[in-house]
Amino acid sequence: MPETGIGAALLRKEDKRFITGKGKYVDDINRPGQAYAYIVRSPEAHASIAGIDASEALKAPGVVAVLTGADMAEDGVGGLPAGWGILFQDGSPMIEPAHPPMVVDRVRHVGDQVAVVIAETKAQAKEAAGLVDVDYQPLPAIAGLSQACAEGAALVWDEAPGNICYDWGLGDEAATDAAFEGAAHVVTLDLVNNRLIPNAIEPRAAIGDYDATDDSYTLYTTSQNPHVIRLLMGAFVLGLPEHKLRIVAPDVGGGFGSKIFHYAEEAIMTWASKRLERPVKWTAERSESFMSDAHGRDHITHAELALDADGKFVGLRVNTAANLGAYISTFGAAVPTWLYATLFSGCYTTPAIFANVKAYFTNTVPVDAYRGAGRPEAAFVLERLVHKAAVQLGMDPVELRKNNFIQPDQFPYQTPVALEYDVGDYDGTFDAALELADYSGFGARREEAATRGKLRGIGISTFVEACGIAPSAVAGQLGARAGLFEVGHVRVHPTGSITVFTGSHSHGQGHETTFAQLVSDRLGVPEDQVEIVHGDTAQVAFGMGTYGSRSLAVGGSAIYMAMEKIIAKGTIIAAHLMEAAVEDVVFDKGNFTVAGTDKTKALGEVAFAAYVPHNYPEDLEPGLDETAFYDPKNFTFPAGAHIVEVEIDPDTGVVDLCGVSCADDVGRIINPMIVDGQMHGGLAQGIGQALLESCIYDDSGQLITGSYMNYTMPRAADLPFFKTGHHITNCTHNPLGVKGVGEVGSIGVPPAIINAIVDALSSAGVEHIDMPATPERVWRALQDAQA
Amino acid sequence: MKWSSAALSTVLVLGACGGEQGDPTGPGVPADGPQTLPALVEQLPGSRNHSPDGTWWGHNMREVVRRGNFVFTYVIENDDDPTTPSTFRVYKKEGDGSWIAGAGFETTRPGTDGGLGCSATLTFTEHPPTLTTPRDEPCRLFARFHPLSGSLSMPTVSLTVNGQAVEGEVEGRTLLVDFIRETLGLTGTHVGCDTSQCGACVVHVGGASVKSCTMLAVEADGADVTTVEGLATNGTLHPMQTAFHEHHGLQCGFCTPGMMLSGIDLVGRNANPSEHEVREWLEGNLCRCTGYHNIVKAVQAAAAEMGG
Repeated sequence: MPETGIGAALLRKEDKRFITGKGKYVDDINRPGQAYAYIVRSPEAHASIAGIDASEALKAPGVVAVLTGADMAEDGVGGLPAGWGILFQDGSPMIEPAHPPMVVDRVRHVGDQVAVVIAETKAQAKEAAGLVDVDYQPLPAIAGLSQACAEGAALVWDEAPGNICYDWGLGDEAATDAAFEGAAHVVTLDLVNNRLIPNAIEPRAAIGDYDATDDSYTLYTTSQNPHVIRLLMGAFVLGLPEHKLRIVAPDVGGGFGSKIFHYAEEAIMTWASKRLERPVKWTAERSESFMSDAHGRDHITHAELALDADGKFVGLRVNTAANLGAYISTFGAAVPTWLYATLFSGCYTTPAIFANVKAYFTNTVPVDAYRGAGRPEAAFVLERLVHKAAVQLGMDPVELRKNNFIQPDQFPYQTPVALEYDVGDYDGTFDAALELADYSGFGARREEAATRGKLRGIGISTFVEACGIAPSAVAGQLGARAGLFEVGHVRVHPTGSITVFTGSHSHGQGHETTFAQLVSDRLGVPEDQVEIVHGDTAQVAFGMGTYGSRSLAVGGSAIYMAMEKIIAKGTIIAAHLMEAAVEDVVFDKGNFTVAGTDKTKALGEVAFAAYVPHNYPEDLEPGLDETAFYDPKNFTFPAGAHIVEVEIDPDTGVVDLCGVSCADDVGRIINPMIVDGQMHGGLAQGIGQALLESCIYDDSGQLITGSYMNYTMPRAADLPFFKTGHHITNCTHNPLGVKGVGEVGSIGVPPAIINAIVDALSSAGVEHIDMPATPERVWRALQDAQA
Repeated sequence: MKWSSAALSTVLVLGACGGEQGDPTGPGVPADGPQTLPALVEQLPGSRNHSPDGTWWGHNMREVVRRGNFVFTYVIENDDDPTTPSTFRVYKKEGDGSWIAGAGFETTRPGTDGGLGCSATLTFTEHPPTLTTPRDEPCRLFARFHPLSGSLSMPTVSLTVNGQAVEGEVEGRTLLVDFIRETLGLTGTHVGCDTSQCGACVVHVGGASVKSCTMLAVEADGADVTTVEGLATNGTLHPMQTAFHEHHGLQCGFCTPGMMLSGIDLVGRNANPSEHEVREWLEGNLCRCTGYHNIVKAVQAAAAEMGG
């Protein structure tokens, strides 16, 4: 393993501030003269507002203002925009209701923003918020998908009959139906993908800071993508020109998707700061986060797999009801459609696929991307079906998968669901996982466990995911309302050190280290002389942020392209300095050399010449500072095989994770230590979904799991050490060959766990279990099967 | 007479046994005079404490600054006879640091509360006040301070943080974590939840890991607190900090300070913790980024380095 550059397990440069308590998260920031905001939130799932009486609150000590949606509307504040438009199957646009940052006359979920109290201290604002008297007139609430789809259900939005936002389809329905007609076997499964709450440990926060001296605004926010917030809030909500709006996303304590979206509180604080002409600071309390951060997943699916007599997949048909929540969140419409159904080929050559997704409004918190964003839902459907097919057909689950894998010589592979995969070696990846898991030894381990009265099972998940979003033209055709390029700006200083301004954002991914490794590898400058700047739109001109495992694939490629421009210009300068022809000069590891000679100039010397151009090419501009915008040619397609072994105590239903073994093809690995760390984090969240976590609303739309008291976050004792290995095929269409790793763990492992549990319980006649497979559920499944 | 609203005085309230009614210098008073608050707090941490010579009893001793008119409510617990009043003395600290005994303290006693003790509402009628009871009994004194009108009671806390003596005025309800973050500006300690689960707020109080969100600042009066900022000594990182760095035990860094402080407490009690012991110990620390894999390795590596 190298010690520097690409492939090195370099320790992280950013650690220093975090381990000494010098990280700068939004709540650590204080602006002179700031006031504090507390949001009045609806305790009702669905109600009209007959009136808001703030008179008592305004008298409370320290209160500066109480502002409402009516005040915002009066100021012409716009609604929070949806960033992706989805069409009905007949081509008509999705139903897109208004989404004001604070409601005017109707609340549509517990936690919906009703008013903001601003006071001199946080405690005063919170106390006064309790004095704001809101007259709620309750309306019938749609608490979840089954209520939303019910015949004659009440409406969340009058303009959305049947509570449907869109009814969308992908694939060839006729061909798929035909495939099912002629199929030797049909495997059917009804599944729930349980609703989750991302729960990054840092709660969201925002500080709006208006500067009257030049009529400019700064927003400090816990965001994964400050430029996206600048675009959405500036253009659509507050009507501010971009050059007057600076967004700073400093250190952010985890995002996992939940900090992508433009949230109401960002707009409220920015707007309020202008109104009061002083900074306004808001930090969520955790139970407030539970009812205001976007939630994840929440699908009900009926899926069918058609196979021929030899066990080849001939058709896949999926019907999904997806919960969008009360409003369409920034990417909420795209997650159960283009980020979901396009993955239904998985690793397999299934020729005919059709997916229908109906997205519903409910009186719950909006649902949007959460680690995996659509791909965990797809992998879960596919791999549960494949497991059931193996059981139903009496076929070996390893052989069944391998017989259906896309073969290496079939790439680039055009799937029936829009995506074209560039490269993969699914057999190689699978074999690596089988070895890591000691799959062949499982039988003996099962027998041994049985002697102790325990039920042991093993479960497989082989999957492909799509990330590195996205080619802008394709995304635009599919309804995206923004481009998805990334920007890399590489500045070589006269002294030879380098600053990279990237539109990517690190909230745990270690970009300050890995991006420096890219630079040191290509330009030969040691990592400690490369500074990565991100998160501040005043320093980084453009960008689209970090989500969908795109930072290296798209952000890294942009940096690579900017470095190519640096090298090209440096070559001209070096040739001039060495009095050689440009075409004779070669750049490698920090030096420009005249080929075949020992005449050489270091990058630092060339940089100095560029800024002190005394001996310099005549028609060349001074400076060594280049920007590249990289628009990806395609998504990237990491693939993996996850194998989980469980041991279940039938008396208690407790599932013991004996082995979590993963082999993943993440494309070229820049820093293996960081890649493994990303795998661990994704696996932990996938295990959380499969065994522990569930966001529950009661029938009246009250959020029952309202805090860490009853939403089960994975703890250290819930998880084992993970076995992670790799089997790499480099991406063919970006200059680095990188695919992405951030979401692979949360995508691949849930079906492997459930398959393992079903395998363990199969001898008792259990065929399926829903997530989370808590001890109670496992125990009940056993009881019910034996009854 | 009421407290002069212009008189800012420091009042030390002690419970005492012995002494005669109205006699502020009775046999219960230590020969060298009533001790100053910091010394008493050191001797009297927590509740139900007594001074080394056994003559003074007290609870929730505080140096308080009073402004304006106010009423003290004391809950007085007698071990035996709750109907008999107890002896108290109130002392005032002069500007030069000396203490003078008070006099003229009036009390009304509404009666017993069922055997364990009774509560008394005490109104200071003159400054400084003295409250005495005739009974020569050990008793416990709980003080709750209610402002009569307007002025908020603002206790001052004095404690040691990362080796430095600090002092600050806080509200009674101020959490220790907020005192650390807002008053002291030490933002390395984080708030991640509101139900005491996440552990991002863990600090050391008296060497033991404590969730600073579940402790009032006033409870830390006189305590010795260590936060993440106090782990390195003279620029040299603590082995736990080094281990987290070397084993990639952090990603976003938000849980990290609390996680490290928890880990240090574990290693202090168990020099060579097993994987299982580390995982069980960290039940009170949530991480969403790392899956705990490298955190466990880091804690075990730190333990080995720290001499396990």
